Amino acid sequence: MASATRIIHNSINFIHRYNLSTCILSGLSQVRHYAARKSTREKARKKKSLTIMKKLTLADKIQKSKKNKVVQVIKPDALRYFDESKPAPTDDVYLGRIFKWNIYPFSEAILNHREFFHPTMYDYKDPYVQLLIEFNMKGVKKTKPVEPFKKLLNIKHKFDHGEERRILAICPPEEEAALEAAGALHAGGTNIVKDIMSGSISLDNFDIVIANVKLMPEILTIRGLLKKKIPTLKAETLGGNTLKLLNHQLNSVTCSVKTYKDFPEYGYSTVSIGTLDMDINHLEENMKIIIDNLMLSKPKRSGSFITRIRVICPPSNEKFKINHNLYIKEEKINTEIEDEVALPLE
Amino acid sequence: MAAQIQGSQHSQRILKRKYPVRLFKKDDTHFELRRKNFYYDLIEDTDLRKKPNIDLILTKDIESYGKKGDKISLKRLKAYNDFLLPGLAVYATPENIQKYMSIVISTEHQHSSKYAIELLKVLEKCCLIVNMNIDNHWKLEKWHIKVNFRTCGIYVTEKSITMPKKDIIGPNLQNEGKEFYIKVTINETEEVKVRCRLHHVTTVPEHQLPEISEFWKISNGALFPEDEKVLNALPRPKWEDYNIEKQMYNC
Repeated sequence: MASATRIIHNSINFIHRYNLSTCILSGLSQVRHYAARKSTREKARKKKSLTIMKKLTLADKIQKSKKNKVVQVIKPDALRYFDESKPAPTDDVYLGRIFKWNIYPFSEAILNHREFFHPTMYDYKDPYVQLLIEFNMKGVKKTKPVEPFKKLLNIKHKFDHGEERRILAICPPEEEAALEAAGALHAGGTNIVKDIMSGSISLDNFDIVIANVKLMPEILTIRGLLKKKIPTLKAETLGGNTLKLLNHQLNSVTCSVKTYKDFPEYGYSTVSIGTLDMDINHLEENMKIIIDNLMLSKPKRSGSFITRIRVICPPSNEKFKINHNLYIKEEKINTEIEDEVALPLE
Repeated sequence: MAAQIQGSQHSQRILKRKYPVRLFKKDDTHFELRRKNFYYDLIEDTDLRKKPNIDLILTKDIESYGKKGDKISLKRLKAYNDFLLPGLAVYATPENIQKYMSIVISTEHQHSSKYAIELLKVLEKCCLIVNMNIDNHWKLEKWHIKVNFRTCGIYVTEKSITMPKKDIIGPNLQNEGKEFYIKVTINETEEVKVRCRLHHVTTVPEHQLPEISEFWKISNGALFPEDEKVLNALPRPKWEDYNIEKQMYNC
């Protein structure tokens, strides 16, 4: 019996393979070749077209290559160097890694940096003194942290910050000479607007455009060409006193607050406040103004915004922590509901 | 409710009912507890509690722990395996204290602070690289060494440093890599000799010395010939022993 069934099985297989069913065994087995449903074929076509259309860009390729590798997570400094659980130093000679960080007065931090760059040691002239500031970027809502921002910060005592800022000033004709003497690359009135329209002045040669309010209607005609360089009140590139604007744009210090990729609630930035040979009091005054200016962008919530400040001097690796709470003014929290005070009975 | 059995604290678990039991009604003699009354929250497991250290009395001198007759406190496993089993120490019971009374009183060399032991260990074996300028004239002073210590993460006051008797003046490239020693006193009690090595340095790239890989491992002898005895007696840094072993294997 077994052999007989095998023969039948083989023969049926053979018939199916060569599609002989219709001619030989039309009555015995039912094989139907209907068309597939309309929608399924369309779906398949769409899938095919999508795969062809998606061409990999360079960024995608890099991401694909990174997927297999282990990506290192960069932790913020606040989590890496957390020294508050450590004990305070008691001896006159001690190892730094066991104890809390020393909190220096500002003047001592500068003097310590001056020792390192003394002519008998490393002998480096005029390095920048910078503040390494750490922020708590928590917003009013828990899910929405403060976004990274960039600011131009005013300072009281000027110094050469080393950045090249090419400024185009659009002003009334009386102020042209004074502005060019003060440091603007090019200054002019309505004729500049015409030149930009014709293309004889290209805006690629300038970083910043400042303007007087009186000429605003003419500037609006070239709004499409200016794009992001359009003067605004918020960016302090538009105003009544053009000389003041120019001085602000030329001499102020840039501060860009960044956040960590995996930790959006932790922010950091480095701001230079002067050179090392400047007077210590001048450096301290610059620092005060910068901190006051940064505190304006604090969200309306309780808790601190600036968490830690260290004074650094870039070629050297030394960092000196200072007490930042001395320089932050106490904020008044708006308490709308005041407690009713019980008056004594007469 | 939370309850604690008095006496032994071995593998206790303190629990709390998740849902409280209902109160008795009027004229109730007893009632059955419901199923949900048997759910509990774990408050504390005494096995996971941190166990206290053990007090010991040393019967022999042991490096970096103390001398004979010292009273020390250690973690349990460390104390059992490394001290009590080999017989280097005994429990600090009142009977043992009486027994070893004569030793305990006779030794009075306690450190000025509990952190001094680890510091001494580091300072004895370290080799401080003293970075000085290659172009300008200098004379080695106390604050130079203070700054060089600070960059390594060791904080020193100028009072605690005693300089070598002879002055060291530079720049002198013949002294590159030569050794001398200074003394550091911790809390005006413990005194350590620290090995130092001179190195010339600049920020001008044209004036820099030719690059030598791992220059800090090469010593060019003593700066003052009379110090050689002291320097040879000082323990060498760990990587130098390793370096010598490596050379031996290569041969």
